[in-house]
Amino acid sequence: MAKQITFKYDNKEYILEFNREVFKKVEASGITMARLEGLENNPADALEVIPELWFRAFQMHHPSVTRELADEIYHSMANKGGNAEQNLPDEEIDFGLLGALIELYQEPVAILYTEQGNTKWSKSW
Amino acid sequence: MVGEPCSENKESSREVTLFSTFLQDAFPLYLFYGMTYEQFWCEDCSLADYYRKAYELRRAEENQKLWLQGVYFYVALCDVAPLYSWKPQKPQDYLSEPIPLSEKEKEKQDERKQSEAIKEYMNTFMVQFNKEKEG
Repeated sequence: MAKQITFKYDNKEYILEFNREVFKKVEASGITMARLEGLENNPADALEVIPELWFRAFQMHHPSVTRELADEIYHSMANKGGNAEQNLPDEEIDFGLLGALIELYQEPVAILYTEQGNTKWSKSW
Repeated sequence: MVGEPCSENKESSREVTLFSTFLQDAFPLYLFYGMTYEQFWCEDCSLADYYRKAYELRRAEENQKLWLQGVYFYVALCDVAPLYSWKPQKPQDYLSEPIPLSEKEKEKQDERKQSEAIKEYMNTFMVQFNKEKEG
């Protein structure tokens, strides 16, 4: 089962998910992986990127949702930023809704990279 | 270029990687795995992983079948080999039933052979018994 974000708003169940067709549309609108990675160093860009990403996440299961409704829902969501700024150990870090949204967006491509090779590796940290 | 530090190369030649291109390039491979257009582009994106794994299972099964075919060829060639020896002899009979592929099949085959052996013994015994009774 692919990654999904689910929640209830105004007594209606919503499922946010990206398929590859929506992924292509998002990239065509200028939101590339590189731009998402650069958000940390360019927070102002988030004002354009996040609303677009959030709106597109509705398109697979709720194509009739308008931008206005998507914005309204976004403003009502809890835990948007998570606790990534609190210098916690890796296993305790929660990137919140925005982190989950970015992970959701990457899923259609990331899943094609799950083929495992045979080369063993180790890390130094 | 040769001799330039790697970081300078990265700064001067950075390009934005468009994963849409990667998806377009991967699409024919997943069609080959058996996915439809709708499944690859519009449905649950984890389907691709399952289709890839299913393809690998099919490939392993096909390989197993081809290997088994080779075993049957080998058995057949061994059975007819006496015909081509220096002093040609009668070839051996080919396998009377398929080679069992699992422990369960092996047990069933052994039971069948045992019950046929018992049946043959009983028939022989009855024929002998009746012969002695008449004679």
